[in-house]
Amino acid sequence: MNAGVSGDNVDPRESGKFDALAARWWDPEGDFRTLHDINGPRVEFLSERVPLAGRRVLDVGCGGGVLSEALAERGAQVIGIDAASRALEVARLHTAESGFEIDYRHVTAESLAQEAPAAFDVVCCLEMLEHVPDPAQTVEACAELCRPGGHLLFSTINRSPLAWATAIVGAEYVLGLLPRGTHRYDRLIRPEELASACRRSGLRVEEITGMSYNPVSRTVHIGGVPRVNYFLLATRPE
Amino acid sequence: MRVDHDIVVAGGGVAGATAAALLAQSGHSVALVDRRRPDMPDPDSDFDPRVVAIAPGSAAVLGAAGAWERLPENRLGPYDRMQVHADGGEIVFRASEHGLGKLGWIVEVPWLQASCWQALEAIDGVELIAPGSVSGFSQREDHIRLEIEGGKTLRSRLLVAADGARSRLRRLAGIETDLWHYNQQALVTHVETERPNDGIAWQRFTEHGPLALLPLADGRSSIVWSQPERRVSELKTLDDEGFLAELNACQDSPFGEATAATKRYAFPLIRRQAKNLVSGRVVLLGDAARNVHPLAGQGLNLGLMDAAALAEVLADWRGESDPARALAHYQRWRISGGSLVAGGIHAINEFTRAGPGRSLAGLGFSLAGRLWPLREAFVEHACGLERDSPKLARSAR
Repeated sequence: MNAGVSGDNVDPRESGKFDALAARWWDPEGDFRTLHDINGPRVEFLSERVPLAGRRVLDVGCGGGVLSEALAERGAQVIGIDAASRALEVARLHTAESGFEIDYRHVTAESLAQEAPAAFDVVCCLEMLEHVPDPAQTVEACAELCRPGGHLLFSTINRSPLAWATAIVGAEYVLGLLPRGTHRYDRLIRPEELASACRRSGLRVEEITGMSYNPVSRTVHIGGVPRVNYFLLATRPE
Repeated sequence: MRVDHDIVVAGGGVAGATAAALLAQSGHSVALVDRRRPDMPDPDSDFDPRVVAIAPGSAAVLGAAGAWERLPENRLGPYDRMQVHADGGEIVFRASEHGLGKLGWIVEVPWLQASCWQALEAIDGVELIAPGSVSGFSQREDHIRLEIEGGKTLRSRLLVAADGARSRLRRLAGIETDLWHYNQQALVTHVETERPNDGIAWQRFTEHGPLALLPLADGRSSIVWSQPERRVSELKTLDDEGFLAELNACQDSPFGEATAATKRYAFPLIRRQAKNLVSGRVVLLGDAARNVHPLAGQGLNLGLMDAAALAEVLADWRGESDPARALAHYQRWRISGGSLVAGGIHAINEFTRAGPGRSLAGLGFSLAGRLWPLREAFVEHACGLERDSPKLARSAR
């Protein structure tokens, strides 16, 4: 069932975590509640900065397709890729219900970059880098997939004591907002590490901004210091 | 360097058009640029779903711009009472207790906007460029060069960006924003009730979000009901009977049951706050400066205060002199004024989304209602009459 994508920058245990949860991707009150709550805000953040309608947009690490569908809803032509095959099945099944036309593929960013370099106006890689063994390699692949003049949006979790306390202990163990084992502390990425990976891949970093979530009111704040969760918006120079 | 205008205002919504009028009246040469010139609405048309609350201070600002008196009486829903309820208590404000004739008016946005544009046509020194749009700009030593869509360029001393909550000019000016996404939507519709709403702005903090019934000129109420997104989707798809049943289960207004509703609309609730209001010769105004949760009906009022404040700080400025000091004053003034109101509204919304918060809020309302200075301060802020308001707004009293 969980066929890995061979010889790639994938940790089968990591993608397997999401495969095991496949059936619950689209339950807005279930294991992925937090993902559903941050989804609208992050698409709003992106669409205020980058035009999406009619653009070719790649969703790297699309999982069950929650982000891909929201991008399609804004008029983007979306391709979603993931290493977890069961999650992709969920994503495909869900489009049958929602009616969006999204091309879901079981491939890594690195392989797709060889097949379709510079093919996308916008590349999104959200809440994914902290699950791969070599995030810099994924960033480089994303850079290759983006056309010159195009935009890239990354989001991930800072490797800080506060992030450990809130994103791992708080969200997984105390509040139960995320399934236990979702994140590993040593896989978290500091903003300056992500920024330097972007620059090494020839990208220009436009904006780094924090995101926080109030699990009681379910309000999401984007702006300010990247203490725990954060976005990095970059462009590929012409 | 010679310029075409002292000030170009980009965006002819109510706040932008009012700013253009007030700035022209203080003797500046002004151009207002918008994609389209608003049509005068049909006087026989049904009430538009887009309504706003206009506080007395804002009405005074619109009056100074020459727009307020153009609004026909039969499109103004005045209220002289505000009632706010939560689980544990309530607070009631009466205009007469605060020396005011009215606490505000519910007005349709298309009428407001068209009245502002009509007023502008009667003011010397304003050029209306519509259809038009500022596609880019470059800041120079003593002016700003604007690219107008279609290839034309304009030179002015200042650019007022009034191009809305998702302002593109704000982004081009490099001004960052904070964004709070409530994962709520506001459902709006007009309802008929058993008894006419004869002038009460009524609000209850219901489960998951506030519900307001606001008076329209014809005795119906405009409702604004903030709820989680999925709940709004459900409420939108119900038939009229089902929707009215849901609404009546959550409202206990003095007007009795809601018996009929017009088409329902919904929009996402997002608060934004620009981190600065000025960048060189670019000034943010209205929703481009910040936009807020609608629960207190303050969005446009803040924008109109921006317009009056900008005209006030620029009253003695003339094109050749450096505007930096006046603009710095505007930024300090409107960032603090806007943040106090926006932050207060935000805190109330966050707090009342959980049951215990609502009970505490109700208790707080009841206590606050007994403390006269607090009530008075609240009314002054809600009405745009506090000591820190622009002079034009305070003239309402």
